[in-house]
Amino acid sequence: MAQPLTRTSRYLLAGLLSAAVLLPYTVSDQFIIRLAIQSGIFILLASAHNILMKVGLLSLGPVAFYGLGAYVSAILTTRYDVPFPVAFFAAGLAATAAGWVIGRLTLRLRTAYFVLVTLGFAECFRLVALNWIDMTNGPMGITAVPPPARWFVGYIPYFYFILLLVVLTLFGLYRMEHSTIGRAMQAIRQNELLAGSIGISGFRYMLLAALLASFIMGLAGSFYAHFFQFLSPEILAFDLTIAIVVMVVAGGRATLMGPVLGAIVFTVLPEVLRVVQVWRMAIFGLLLMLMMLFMPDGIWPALQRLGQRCFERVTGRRTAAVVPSSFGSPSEGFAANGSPPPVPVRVEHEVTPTDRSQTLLTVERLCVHFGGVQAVHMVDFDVKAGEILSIIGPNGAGKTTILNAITRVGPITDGKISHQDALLNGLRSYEVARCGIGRTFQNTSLFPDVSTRQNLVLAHNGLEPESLLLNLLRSDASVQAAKDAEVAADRILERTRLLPYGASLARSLPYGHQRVLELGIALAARPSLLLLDEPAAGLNPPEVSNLMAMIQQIRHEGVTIVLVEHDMKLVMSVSDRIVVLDHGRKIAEGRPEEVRTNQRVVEAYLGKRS
Amino acid sequence: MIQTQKLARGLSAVVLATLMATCTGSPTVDRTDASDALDGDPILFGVIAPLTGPVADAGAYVVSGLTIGVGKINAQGGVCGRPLEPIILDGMNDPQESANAAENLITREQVPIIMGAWGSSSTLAVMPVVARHGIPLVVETSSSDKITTPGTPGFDWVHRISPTSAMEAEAMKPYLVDELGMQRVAILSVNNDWGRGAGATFRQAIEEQGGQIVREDYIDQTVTDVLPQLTQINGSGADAIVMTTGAAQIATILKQYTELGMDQLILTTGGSNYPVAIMQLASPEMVNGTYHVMFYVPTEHALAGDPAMSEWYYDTYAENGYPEVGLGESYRGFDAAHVIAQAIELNDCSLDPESLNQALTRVEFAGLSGLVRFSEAHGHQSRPNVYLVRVDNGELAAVAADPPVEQP
Repeated sequence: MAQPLTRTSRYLLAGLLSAAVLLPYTVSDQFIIRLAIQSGIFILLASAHNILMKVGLLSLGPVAFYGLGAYVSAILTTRYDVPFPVAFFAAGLAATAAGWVIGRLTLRLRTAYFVLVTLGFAECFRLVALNWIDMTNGPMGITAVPPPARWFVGYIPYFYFILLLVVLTLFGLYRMEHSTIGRAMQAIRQNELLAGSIGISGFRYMLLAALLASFIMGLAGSFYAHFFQFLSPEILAFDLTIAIVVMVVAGGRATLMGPVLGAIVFTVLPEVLRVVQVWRMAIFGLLLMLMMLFMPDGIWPALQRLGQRCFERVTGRRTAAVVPSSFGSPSEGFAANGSPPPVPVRVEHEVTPTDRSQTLLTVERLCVHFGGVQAVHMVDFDVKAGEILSIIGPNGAGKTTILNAITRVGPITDGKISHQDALLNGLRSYEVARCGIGRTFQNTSLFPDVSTRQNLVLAHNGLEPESLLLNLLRSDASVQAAKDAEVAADRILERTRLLPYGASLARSLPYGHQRVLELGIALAARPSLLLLDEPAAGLNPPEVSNLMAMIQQIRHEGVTIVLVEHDMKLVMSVSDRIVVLDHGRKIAEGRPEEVRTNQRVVEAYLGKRS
Repeated sequence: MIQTQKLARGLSAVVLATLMATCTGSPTVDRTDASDALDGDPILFGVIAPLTGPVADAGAYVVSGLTIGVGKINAQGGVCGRPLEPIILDGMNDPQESANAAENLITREQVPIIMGAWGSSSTLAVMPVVARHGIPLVVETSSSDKITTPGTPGFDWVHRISPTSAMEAEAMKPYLVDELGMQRVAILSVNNDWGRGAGATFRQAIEEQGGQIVREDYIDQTVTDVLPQLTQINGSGADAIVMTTGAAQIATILKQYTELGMDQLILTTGGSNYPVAIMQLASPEMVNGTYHVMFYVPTEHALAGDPAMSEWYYDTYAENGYPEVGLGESYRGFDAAHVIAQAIELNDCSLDPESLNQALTRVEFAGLSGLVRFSEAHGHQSRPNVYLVRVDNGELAAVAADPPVEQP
């Protein structure tokens, strides 16, 4: 649900907006108006670049889209006499098209590779602009780019034009941030693997981010060309990329206001520093260094903290601490063994299979080979609706590899995995999640830097409408989805007894609580089949018994469970059936008592008697 | 950890305090000293030059010439009895920076006239700004023909002292093929507006004279390895190479040219390639026998618009301790300062920008680069002297000169 603005921030916002609208009438200094216009261009660029930061991508190619927009607009208006409004949108669309192509090519890459490819693209584009003389006029540049309209005389029309663009962009980004899309992006930035496992397509949102960013940059480029009325390949200089990245990072990345503040500060500061002449850039660099030293998260978060501190000092009130100073004893985390949780949660899914004869998941001749290593070889088993099936085996037996293959996080070399007659082989992890298959990970996987409650809100994302338009227009469906997410989060908090930690950062929770939260995340996505990867690892005995109760409760609610676990007490007490693996091959399958006495199982665990 | 933070905080406080002191202090640090002998408020004019960035050296040379020029004017009684004072802002030879500097000069410093902004891209970006405010711009270095093409935003407010590439090629046309025997020519220039512009005009001039362009290569300003291009030029049967780029890159090219044992005739254009600078960066032997197109030959006083002043300038430049390599570029600032001073006097000491712009059309100044006067017919463009200089045993010898031609 969108955070409603507090009254103070509403007044502040209204004040800022009216100050901006009245600026040309209160300030007679044209230089300030010009700087304001330039800040506007950079607010667009930094905010657009920040959309990529929101999904955790660092691009070093923003100038390419900015430059493309500028060149498209300038060429269309000077060479083909296209009217400005058409050229303006053509610039945005051309940049978006480029964003789509580059996105398709690069978004599967991560970290340094993505950075390098975007950098390379920007450089390629600069070389094209520099050397395709017939079209771009190369280093000679395009002169006499016309103003947007005849009445664009002086700076005031440009000022209002860019102000309109900035307000629309920021409003759109605000809406997006507090929507399904914004939450999905937050989830991806925090933990892309986990996001995939609850039905969020990392690629889809990254591509969306790239398209939106390039569209806004293209429009900004068009504005630049018609404002400066001269365009040369200098617009594609690497310095500008650095400037944009600095604005976002120093302003406060992945926040709405950070890039705005960064853009203003880093447009105005170099001009203020003109008085120190040749020392200008050196001092600018020094200030930047100090800023990052004392405000590592950026200016905006630092200001927020300062504001909060002032507020507390003035009112004498303390705002709710984000992290509670003490945690309850771990045993508080769960209902005691056997006792049902106080508030049962209805787990909703498309099919509520209770008929144990129905097969939910079939694994046939599954092989997963890594080079010469046969991690899993010719394994068959099926999972019946409503049962708890455990997969056990010594370390390296291939248990997690099977879970990864089912959830399509890991590769399948050969064989078939089908879920209710649908083949999972060709799907991606988020698509598997959307079939109602949830999972937890062997190493605790959370959204570490958001609150416990927000973890559960994010986990609901896969069930919400994804459409950009629905979300920007705040349709009934999207508002309802946000409400549902909040309600579901509260229910799961209550059920997992994590309610006292709702406001705590997930990474600050004790380990046992983190494992519970992980289970809560998987449940929030409302799976019909839940794959648990060593949920008891690292838990103490009381915690394990709580977990046991929890697992049984989940099954009672109609969720089928596949459990990978080393804790034999847990496995033997909760499982309906057990599959035993050794060195990637299935060596036994059956009810717990059958498996316990199976000679091959004993040998696998204890070794052969010589 | 806490101690480190304290230390860092203390350090930043010191830095900030220094910065504040500098910021709040008088901005006269930017201004060259007006002559003490003169009373009255100084007449301010704006200067946009690259003081930092890759071409900061060239900017510094122009400013040194400007400083000598302003000093001379003030020593001789100033302008209308008031001292002349430049406010110099850094444009970094970047279009956006230069445009901001222009805005600052016009709206903050309230200057009535500006000189700048070195590179053509920067000048073209400054022009819409001066046009919006109606402030005249005197261009001292840029060579793009677009600057003085009617229809370019700001055209009405521009007067240019430096020649266009086309003028340069036109002046050299009679010599290239017939005198120097350049039949098969390779063009090797920097890939910017300057290099590209010169390449196109020299191609035209050579072809019109019956010569042939066998190769055309444009290299980045930062390129230091030109062996591939030179090898290809060598293999193309070229008998001459026309180069338009900075002195440092020319020196680099000459070193590799010598390394390859090439013997093509070398001609540099653009007027910014003071052969003394090239000789210092390469070696006198390597530069021996090369040809250079120049607009001011510091040692050939007789060729200047005012020989006595040329001699005085040469000596004063050395006395001030400015680097000799900058001499070939510095005259631009000197001539521009005088043009601005004369325009103000011709305008009856009025600083009204509009009439000052008109007054510029009446300026006639016999400067270091010849007679500066702006022809309306040629788009507010002056026609400086153009010389063809040959380097012989470390000495510059003008082998041809193109005196100012009477404009119709």
